[in-house]
Amino acid sequence: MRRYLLRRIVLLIPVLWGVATLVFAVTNIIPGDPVDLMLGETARPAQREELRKALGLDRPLLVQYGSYLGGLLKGDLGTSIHNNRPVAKLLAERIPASAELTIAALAIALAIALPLGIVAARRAGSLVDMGASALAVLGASIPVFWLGPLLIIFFSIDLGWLPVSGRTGVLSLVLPAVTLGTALSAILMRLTRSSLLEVLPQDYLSTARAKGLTERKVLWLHALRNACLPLITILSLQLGALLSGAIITETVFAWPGVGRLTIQAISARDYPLVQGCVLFIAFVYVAGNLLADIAYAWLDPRVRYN
Amino acid sequence: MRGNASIRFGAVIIVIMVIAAVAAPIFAPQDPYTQTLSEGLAPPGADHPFGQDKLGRDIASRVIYGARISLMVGFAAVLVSVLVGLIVGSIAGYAGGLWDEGIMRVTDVFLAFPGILLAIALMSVLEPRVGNVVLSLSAFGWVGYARLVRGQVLTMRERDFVSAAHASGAGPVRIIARHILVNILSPVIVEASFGMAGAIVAEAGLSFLGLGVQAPEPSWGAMLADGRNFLLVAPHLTLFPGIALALTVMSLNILGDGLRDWLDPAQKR
Amino acid sequence: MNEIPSIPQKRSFVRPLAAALAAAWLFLAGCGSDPLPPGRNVIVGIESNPTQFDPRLSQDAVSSQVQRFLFNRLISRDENDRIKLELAESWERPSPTVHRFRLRRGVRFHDGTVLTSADVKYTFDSIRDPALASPRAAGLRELDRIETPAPDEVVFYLKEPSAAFAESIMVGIVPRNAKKTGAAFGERPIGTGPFRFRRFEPDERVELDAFPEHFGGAPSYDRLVFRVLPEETVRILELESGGLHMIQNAFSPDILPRLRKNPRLQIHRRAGTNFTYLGFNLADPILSRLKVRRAIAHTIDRGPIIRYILKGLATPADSLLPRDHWAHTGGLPRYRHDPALARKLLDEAGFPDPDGPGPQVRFSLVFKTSQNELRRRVATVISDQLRQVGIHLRVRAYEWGTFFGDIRSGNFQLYSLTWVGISDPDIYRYIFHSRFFPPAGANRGRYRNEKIDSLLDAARRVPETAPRAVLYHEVQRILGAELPYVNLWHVVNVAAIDRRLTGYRVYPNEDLISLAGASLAPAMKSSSPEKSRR
Repeated sequence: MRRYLLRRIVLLIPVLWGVATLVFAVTNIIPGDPVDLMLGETARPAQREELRKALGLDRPLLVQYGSYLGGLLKGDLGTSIHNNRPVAKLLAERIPASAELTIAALAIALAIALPLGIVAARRAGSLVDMGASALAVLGASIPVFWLGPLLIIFFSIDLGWLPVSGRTGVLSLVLPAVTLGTALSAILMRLTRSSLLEVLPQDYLSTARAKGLTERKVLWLHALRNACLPLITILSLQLGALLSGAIITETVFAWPGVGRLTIQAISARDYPLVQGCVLFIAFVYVAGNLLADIAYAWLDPRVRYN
Repeated sequence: MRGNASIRFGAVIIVIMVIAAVAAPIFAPQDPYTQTLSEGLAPPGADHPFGQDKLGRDIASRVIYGARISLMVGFAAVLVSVLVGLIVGSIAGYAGGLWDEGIMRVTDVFLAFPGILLAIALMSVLEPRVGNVVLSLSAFGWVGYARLVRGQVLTMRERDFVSAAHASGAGPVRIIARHILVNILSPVIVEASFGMAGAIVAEAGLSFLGLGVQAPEPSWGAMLADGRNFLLVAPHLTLFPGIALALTVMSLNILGDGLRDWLDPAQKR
Repeated sequence: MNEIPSIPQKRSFVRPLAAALAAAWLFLAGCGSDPLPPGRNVIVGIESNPTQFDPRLSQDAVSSQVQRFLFNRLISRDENDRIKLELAESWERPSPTVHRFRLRRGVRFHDGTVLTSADVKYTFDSIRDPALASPRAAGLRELDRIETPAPDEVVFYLKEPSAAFAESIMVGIVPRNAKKTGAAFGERPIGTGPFRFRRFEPDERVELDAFPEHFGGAPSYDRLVFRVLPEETVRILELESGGLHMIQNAFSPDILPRLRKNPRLQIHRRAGTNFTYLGFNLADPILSRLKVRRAIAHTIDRGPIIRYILKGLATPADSLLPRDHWAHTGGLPRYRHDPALARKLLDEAGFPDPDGPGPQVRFSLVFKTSQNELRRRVATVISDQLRQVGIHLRVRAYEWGTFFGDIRSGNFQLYSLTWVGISDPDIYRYIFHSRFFPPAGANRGRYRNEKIDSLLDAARRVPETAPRAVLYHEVQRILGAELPYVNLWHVVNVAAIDRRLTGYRVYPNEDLISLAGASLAPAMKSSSPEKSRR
């Protein structure tokens, strides 16, 4: 197990290096000049050059790339051009809000998807199945920036149950999490249903039934456990999408997460900050994948030897 | 509603949408670009069944013309993604070895890279045109197909009929094209129908960020994004393009589900 | 992945999963920032984060609006856009190049130290220090040195007379120990303003506490909060449900009738100094022809745009300066809507319409704009209007950084932008003088006219208002005829305010500072104010 883990962790390095390189390339291709955006139009050319030098933007690209990678190796994400603060610190400020939103969205997605998926699988082909599927598909079909305000109008204005926007405690988390989690719940529901359908008719379940286990126990202890393997895979794959997909949700609900930080960094051409944000999102993604693989290996020992 | 029923339902809606798109000039009650400023935000009425938008343009006509752009963006983005994925995936799966290893690491990087950010970055560089929206969406869209195709090619490679073709002296391109691709097309098509749904939603997301299809072209995403500031005073601006978009995306998803059930006998009940 | 075989059952995975979810919820319940204490807060909605709290460095409108509450200036503009003394008690001009200010006594910074002339000197010296990279340095070009003969006296010596001097010193005064804190000053700004900095949660809120020792008297409420709400619908809903007390200009004109119907709100409007224009690239072979520019000016019909799209929240402009500005002149060309004349001008310019009213066009142009919804809407209408005289205008909305970069580098044909807070006409030099091509200034269209250059240089050296105005009259006449810009309109500022908030006055330059003197009536008994709305 330890060797398997080690191998997996070592494999992360080239991926993160690739992401770092890709984001470096992309940020340097985007037109627009951070110095122009900072100094505005009143600055003298000499002043511009001065700042460019101070920020190290006057060096050849390869040198910039080298020092950027060197910094990363030392665990240094660099300093934001725009407000001169460490990128790591800026990110750290946003991580709690992003983590709350992501975890809550995941929880809500699971809370919707699992029961619906189970019911749909157990009574496949019935009206309930069709209804649940239709609901899930509908959820995945509504653009987030339309769903969000509709939810606000209904739950915050008409019913007055929840705050309109902002981050002011658990209640304020509900609507953004539902908005963000809806699309994911559709994916998970479909997956739960189809993987359950696959295991339900299998022999060992019949054996379990024959041993006298109740149908409920069969379902929860045996069937769902196997169905959960693909679920873990998809969840880990969706983690990154959830973080970056939160950009729109965060904008609608004025939620101060990493997504908003990234968008602003892009529009200010704050290269180090853009790079830091993208690396962070990529890291969460690969870390999620790693965890999923570990969970896999834990649930199915044979995976380790592959 | 499984298998055939789903396919039928999804396909019918999609076909209707495609017909609307192709024959938009026939179906659209009015010119989608004609502005009547004095009638801005007018609610649905006899002359304008879906009402008028902020510039007094006929929303019904714009929704119909919007089908052209939204479907085209979705279809083209998936087509480009699938083509790139097929080529890259086949090379990885068939050539194996270092090629496979290298290509897989690159796909790892693209999978880890937040796709929407890549699209945002590309749209900031490129002229905001429909073609470039397609390009931006395909920039990360190909990865999934490449991995899918590679996996399929890997299993196909060991099959007897491939070995037989190989023995009879067929070159790799011929083997991939004639023997392997035709056999792996069905999972790709299933994936593509989901992918097209995803691309249409993603275009709407780009529009929200101001980076989607540009005015005065009516894409559903752009109509939704532009209309959202009027949600409180003129909900019909977002309602109709929203329904059209949701219906299309839903049909594509249902179609994909149906195709999967139909093509995968293990699940057929 | 569908071929995972069954596994002997030992561990239950359901329980750990449930535990994890429960833990997640506990974790969630524990975080999140605390809700605002009810009562004596005034909450204002803003569209974007302030980017800077250091008044020497900021350049965006939101930052300067927030800074006004933290810092005071020597002199500033009042609600009628006239210059008034703020930290200065008196302002003498013993000679055209010497300005002597006596400071108010007993003014304290938020940290308790007393304001002296050394702070004033430090503020302007540091702005001129290249190390600070202040965007305001260019405005102080004529400043030679600053002397501080006494703690309450500061004297500015200029190299040459400058009529733009007053404008250039309207910067918040920072304490001289800001030097020691360095870049951290922007994170914990200390000024003399009516409010002191409490905290800034980016993308969430800026909180300011009332400063009881403020020389102008303490504000009547405890805290001023700016909430960052990027989505317009959400801003409106927050205002309607009592989560905000005010928003100014940050909504589409179309929403106004709905807000007006709300009994809890009142609408204040006031003509403003923000000027919206259409800029030409004069280096472009088509647009370099005056007849083409005139034709475009005659084709754009501002009436319906202002009436139907801006809902009357703009007044047509015939000059960069508002009509009641002291340097504005009458009798400028208005370029009334006249498509027939426009067609004739285009024919004369050598661009005949190949098929009259048919689909073929005389020529195509690209109109660049930012992504702001209202701006894109206006651009779409202008494009439609130009189509009627045979000009094909392609509207292209760009992300701000790209757009701004293109405009500065001359990579455009037409664009539209707004100049914010036009006060001193010296701005003309910066926009139309041939020495001010980017990156030196904002002559983005590369307009070049020696007459204009010399008039603008001369006007900057004339301190007296009346002769200076005469020079600017001439400038406006020339620009009106040569059309480097099409003057579109001056924006009317509009604020939607909770009726409980009284004493707020809209300033022409969007300044929010009168909030410092406003007061907030206690909340009404109504348990849920949003119920009464429907």
